[in-house]
Amino acid sequence: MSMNVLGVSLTSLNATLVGIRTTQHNIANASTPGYHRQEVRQSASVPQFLGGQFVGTGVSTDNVVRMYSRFLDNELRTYQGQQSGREVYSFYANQVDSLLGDADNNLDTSMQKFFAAVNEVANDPTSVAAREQMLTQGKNLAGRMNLLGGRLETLNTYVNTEIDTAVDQINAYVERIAQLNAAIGYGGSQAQAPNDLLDQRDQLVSDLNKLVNVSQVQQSDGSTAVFLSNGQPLVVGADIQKLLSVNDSQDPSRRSIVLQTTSGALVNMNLQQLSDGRLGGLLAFREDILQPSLNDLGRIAVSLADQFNTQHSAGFDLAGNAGLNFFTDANSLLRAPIPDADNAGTDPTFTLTLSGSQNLTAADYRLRYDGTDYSLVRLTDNVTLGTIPGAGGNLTADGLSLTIAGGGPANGDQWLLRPTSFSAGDLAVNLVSGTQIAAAGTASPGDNSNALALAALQGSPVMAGGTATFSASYNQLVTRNAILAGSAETDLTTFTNLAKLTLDSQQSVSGVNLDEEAARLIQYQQAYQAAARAMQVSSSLLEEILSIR
Amino acid sequence: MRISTASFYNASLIGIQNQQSQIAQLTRKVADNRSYLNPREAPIDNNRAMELSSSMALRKQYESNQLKAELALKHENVHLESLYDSLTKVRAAMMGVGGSNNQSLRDQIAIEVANLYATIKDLGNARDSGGNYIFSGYETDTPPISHTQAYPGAGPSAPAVYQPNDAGVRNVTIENGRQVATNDSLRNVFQGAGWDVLQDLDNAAIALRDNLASPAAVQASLDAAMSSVTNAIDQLRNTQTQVAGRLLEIDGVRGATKDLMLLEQNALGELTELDMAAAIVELQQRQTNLEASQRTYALVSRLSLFDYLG
Repeated sequence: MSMNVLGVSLTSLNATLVGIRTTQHNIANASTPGYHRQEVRQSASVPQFLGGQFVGTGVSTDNVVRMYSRFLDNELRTYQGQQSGREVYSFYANQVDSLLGDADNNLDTSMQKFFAAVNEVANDPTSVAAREQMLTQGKNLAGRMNLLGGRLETLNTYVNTEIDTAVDQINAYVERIAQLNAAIGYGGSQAQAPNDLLDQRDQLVSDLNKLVNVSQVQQSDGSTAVFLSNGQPLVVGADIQKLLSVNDSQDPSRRSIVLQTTSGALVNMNLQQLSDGRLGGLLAFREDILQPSLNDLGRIAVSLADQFNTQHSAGFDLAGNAGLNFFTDANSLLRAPIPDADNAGTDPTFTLTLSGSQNLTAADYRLRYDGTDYSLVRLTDNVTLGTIPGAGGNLTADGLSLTIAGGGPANGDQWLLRPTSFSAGDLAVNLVSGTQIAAAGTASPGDNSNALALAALQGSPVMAGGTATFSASYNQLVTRNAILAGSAETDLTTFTNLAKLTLDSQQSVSGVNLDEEAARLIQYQQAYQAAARAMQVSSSLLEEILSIR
Repeated sequence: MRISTASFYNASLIGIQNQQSQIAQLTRKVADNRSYLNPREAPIDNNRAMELSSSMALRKQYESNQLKAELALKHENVHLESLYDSLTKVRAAMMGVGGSNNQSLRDQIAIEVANLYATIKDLGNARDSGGNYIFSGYETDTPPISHTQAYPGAGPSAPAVYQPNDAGVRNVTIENGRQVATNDSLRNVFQGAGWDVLQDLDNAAIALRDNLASPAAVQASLDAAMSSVTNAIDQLRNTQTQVAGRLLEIDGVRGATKDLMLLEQNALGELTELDMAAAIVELQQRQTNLEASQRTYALVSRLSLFDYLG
């Protein structure tokens, strides 16, 4: 009996110590990402039946639980994933926007300066200075085009590197989640949940979700299964499937993502399957903004070269010789179809030339061989533009003329056609001297009629089926990107705010409040003092009895 | 509502960060006097602004072209005026001598006619500051008129020869779709149906100097030359009227170009320039808000129960 009296206070001291330790743990982790505050659950221990009554035996510590709301944690994770995707998209979209749409120094200003120089040659066709100025401004225009194309290509390499990094990180997270699954599985078989391991695992899933949209399913054995949005599992128990970043089979200059299944098979992942998260944002930027901008810029370069060269070649230079191409030959700016890496047959010979630069589009195309015919599909709207027999032939569509000859393609072989994707980077001035400028319509030095015709190209609707000038086409490109970048920025603000609001709600459940912990400390301190005091009292009572003689 | 310590601190921290980034943006806008810094902030306004700057660049070019055309025409006109003066002078000289028998007077007039003949020929072959023959059409490196002076030799003088490509017209674009000619041929001034100013003046000078020639024969030569000069003056007047008309046209178009450019300049300003007053008021407001957030943060960050323990 006497020992029991001390024992009751001892349970109190023990429980208080667990409480203090938990409070210390909370304080220590107040700023640990993903930490959920912990609370001690305690209850009165089983009473003893003594002398016809139930007498209390003290307190027992049942459990240390983490304050966790599945709903809020899921919401937070979703918004953070969307925020992360829009963040990277917006970052790159803003770069393109600022690059192409600079108010004082864009392609349009270079174009204006070039055509001003053409006008000066028209005004004074025999002036060598005016001719040299036109040549210089032509080089500046081509240089600006190269610079923009080059910058966009650089962005593409950044995107490639970011994809590689994201895939490495995803795989690292996946591995650690699987390891934690194993650890928690063992811990989970005990009565108590390993709160801190659960926090770590949840945090890893959150971090993973910031890279790629995943869903999480809790299993009965305490492990968590993680799936991509198309249902492909990344983690089940301690088993994992990894992502790989590889050169795109259709376009080796682009990195794409494949899933390596446990059986070793490779599954292509497209944008729809990798939505949201950093990876989704990167792929969406490439598809929405980067590739169309490269194509469109190239389209302007090809149209300018074609129209200007055609008019220039119709004239005569200062020496009375027939005009040469002013810019690089427009046909040489076009890029022939790129074979898919998975093609089984041998490539035919492709000859790609312009049939009318007014009708060029900024679209990508796919050429496919079905065992009998080649068919050409425009990928922006999936319209089949025509077919070419397997034996070879010619197809004219969208301002292009494609001739196929020879080769031995296999059924299902395909080629990606991005006719103008590299043209902006390849544009150059072909002439070497201002005297070669063909200002004259006849072989006479004072004739300025061809220079007038060249100058008039500035205001002529020679693009988009004869509806847009060079300048208007560029303006459309800038505006299209500006709208996309603007709405991405708005989306980013929205998701950032949603994530912040949800974080506040989640933290109101799971976050540590230091004042609250301080109050708890005082509470436990007092409880400890009271228990010690009670112990002292029972000890002195015992001594009273023992001192009776 | 329960609030975590981190949320408590972050609330005012996020406020401070937001205000600071807004102030930074606004400061840049004020410095650049732009209502937006990147197209994405106002895609539609930016689209219109780019259209307007393209259009203004073209108009600036037209303005510069108008100036070039005007200079070329005024330069041409100076030569045409000189030509007119020389033609009237030579006609007056020939009128004065009539069919006079006074050989010394005839000799004097012959020299004057010969000198004016040379002046008139030189004016027909006038060049601009770049050394280009201005009345030579497209063949700016070839003199338009060749005529070998027979005076004071025996004569008769041969017809003048014109380089064949002198009809080429150098146009200048002074407005969208509007071009104006900046040069003319003097073929119809110097040579017409049945008359040839240079040949006729040369022959007249030879006849005046010929002391064996009868007064009637001299008079016939003078009559032919005077008729040629009169025809030339008529034709020259036509050409001058055309040049004056072109100069007037340029003047009219220039007014329109300037007006449109001003309109576009204003529209562009409306789209891209910052409303400075509103921006400065906003800047002050945001600064006040930022200071409030900073003070709040300073106050709040000192609140901790731990300060009161122990």
